[in-house]
Amino acid sequence: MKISKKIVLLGHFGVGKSSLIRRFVENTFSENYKVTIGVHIFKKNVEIPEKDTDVSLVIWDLEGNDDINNTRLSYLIGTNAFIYVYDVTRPATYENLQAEIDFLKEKQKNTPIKVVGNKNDLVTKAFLKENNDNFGRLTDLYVSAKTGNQVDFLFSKLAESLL
Amino acid sequence: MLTNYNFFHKKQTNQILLINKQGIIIDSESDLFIDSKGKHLSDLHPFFDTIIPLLNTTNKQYNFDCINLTIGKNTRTVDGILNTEDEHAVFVFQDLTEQYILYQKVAQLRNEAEIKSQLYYHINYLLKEKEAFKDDFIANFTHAIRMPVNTISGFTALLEDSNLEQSQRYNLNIIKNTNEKLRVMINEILDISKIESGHFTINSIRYNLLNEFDEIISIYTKKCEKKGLKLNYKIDEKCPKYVIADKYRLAQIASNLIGNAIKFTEQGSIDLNVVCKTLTKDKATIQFSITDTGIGIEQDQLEVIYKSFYQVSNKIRNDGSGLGLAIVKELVNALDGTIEVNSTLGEGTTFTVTLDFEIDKNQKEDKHITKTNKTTANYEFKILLAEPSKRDQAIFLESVSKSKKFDVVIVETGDDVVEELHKQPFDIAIFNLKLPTMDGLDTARYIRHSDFENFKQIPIMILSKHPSKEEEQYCKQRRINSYLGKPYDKDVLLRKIKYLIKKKQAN
Repeated sequence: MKISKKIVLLGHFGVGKSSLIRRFVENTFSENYKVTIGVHIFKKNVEIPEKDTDVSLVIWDLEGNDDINNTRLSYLIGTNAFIYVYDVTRPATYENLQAEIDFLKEKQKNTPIKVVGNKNDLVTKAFLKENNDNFGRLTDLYVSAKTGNQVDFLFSKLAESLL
Repeated sequence: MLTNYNFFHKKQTNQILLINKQGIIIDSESDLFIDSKGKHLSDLHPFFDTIIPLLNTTNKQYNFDCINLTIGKNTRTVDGILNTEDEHAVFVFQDLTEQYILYQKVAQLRNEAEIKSQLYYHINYLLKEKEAFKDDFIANFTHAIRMPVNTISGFTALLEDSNLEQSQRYNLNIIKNTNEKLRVMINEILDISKIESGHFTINSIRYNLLNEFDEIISIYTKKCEKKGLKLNYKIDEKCPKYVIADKYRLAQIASNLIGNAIKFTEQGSIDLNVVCKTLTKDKATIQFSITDTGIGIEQDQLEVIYKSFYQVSNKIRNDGSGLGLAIVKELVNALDGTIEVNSTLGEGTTFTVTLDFEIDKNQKEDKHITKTNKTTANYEFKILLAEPSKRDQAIFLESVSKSKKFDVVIVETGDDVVEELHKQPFDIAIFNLKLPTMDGLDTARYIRHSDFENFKQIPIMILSKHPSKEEEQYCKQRRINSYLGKPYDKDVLLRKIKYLIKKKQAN
């Protein structure tokens, strides 16, 4: 059985949304930062053997934004799940985390949201622990597009949870 | 006419797709998606996968701006409008790639600048985290690192007092010396870490500045002599005697600089010159310079010599940590002083340190025991002490200093005893039974069997850590004049020394 699911990645600019997708889809990484304008759309099949299902993930890589209110709402139509990405090294990308998540919940009721702290290769565990009140409580997973840490896990678990 | 313009400007930028409810393209204008007629939307691009469910709506309009569509090898950035009707839907695209490229360039510059400014916070945090780690390291490991080194020292000392063959003693001496070097290096690394992390503290006490320089000189005189160098020392009479300052740090600075001078000088001399630059009622600015006739430092290297782990030369054997000068510089800075260096390659180097000292109001002499040495007083008798243990050296000095009659020259090995006896006459020689290189008894035997009349009859006393009647008897048989067990009574020691000297004079 084959199912298609739309995943939308959001978050501030430079947090590594495109890098996470590139790591997941192509298993590559580039240190060079290239701003995403509008939206890029990618597709990757994820096999869920336990459920004998192939999930076709259609991943929307949205342009980074300081304020989620500026997101083009048409991009959100038909979304099956959100991945909200922030950069653990830049407070500006997580200081309004709760408000941004609330916005998504309001716009897309009952759509699951995974909150992900990217660039965890640049910080220590102690740093993450210290910032529990800043972002730790709301975070589902710390990942690194650079090293690939937890990236496959993020997408495959999300795919599985959507079945 | 407008049709012509329309054709010219819009033909390549527009695409209209007529789609049925099942997502099949019924008709297609233009060639953004070439030969798309008859295909299913999902075959064109993943973008359409999530559009297909919208085809089931009627009389709705959906706007999709700035969609990047990779078609073949080209990526086009388009704005799209989807209009759904009863029977079908119309999707109109406008290719705005060129405009969005311009927008992308502006956004790139803006975002990069903003990210850079936001990262300062994290860089600052990382630096603090690194410092905190260093602080923890110092706090937790200072003791842990020193402990095993001290343990090695302790057990080495125990082994020294045991019956060892000469080769074993030689090997033990290597362990001892290597461990000592390790101890010095660890202390230097911990010192620089403490200074850099701000854990460095200044502990000012009242002390005799002149005595302090005397002591430093007495330590390094022996080292210079061993290397065939002369250590000249001159101190300005205007220097106050009693000051309130960090005694240990002054010694550390001077010792490091003199030690370095000795290390890099193969012949000639080392000069320590202490000058009082300015003097007020309660403050003295004292400048001390250490000049050597060593290898010198290249001019372009003078700026980097204070960097941690800097090594002056690869041409000579240098087993230090490369932290000595870095520590000196940091210490001088911490004491609000200055340090200058002048050097000529192949001729030598002068380090000049200027420090302010608080003058103690009470300049009266302290009545405490000072280590006797030949530069500070006139003594009646000269003792040669061979004692490897610093603690036992101190006990001995304290014991004999009472009488103020003795000038004590201290050496640590049997070989050094012989060397000293050849250099100058002594009234008595006192050896620890166990000595490195050649033990007390072997040294005594060498003396008694030597052809040098000036010392072959010298009174010899043996000090033993584990005294026994048998050992005392054994010593007597080997023409040892006196035998004393440790710990000894100071008065007994003095009485024995005086007796032996008196006996020698009578002969």
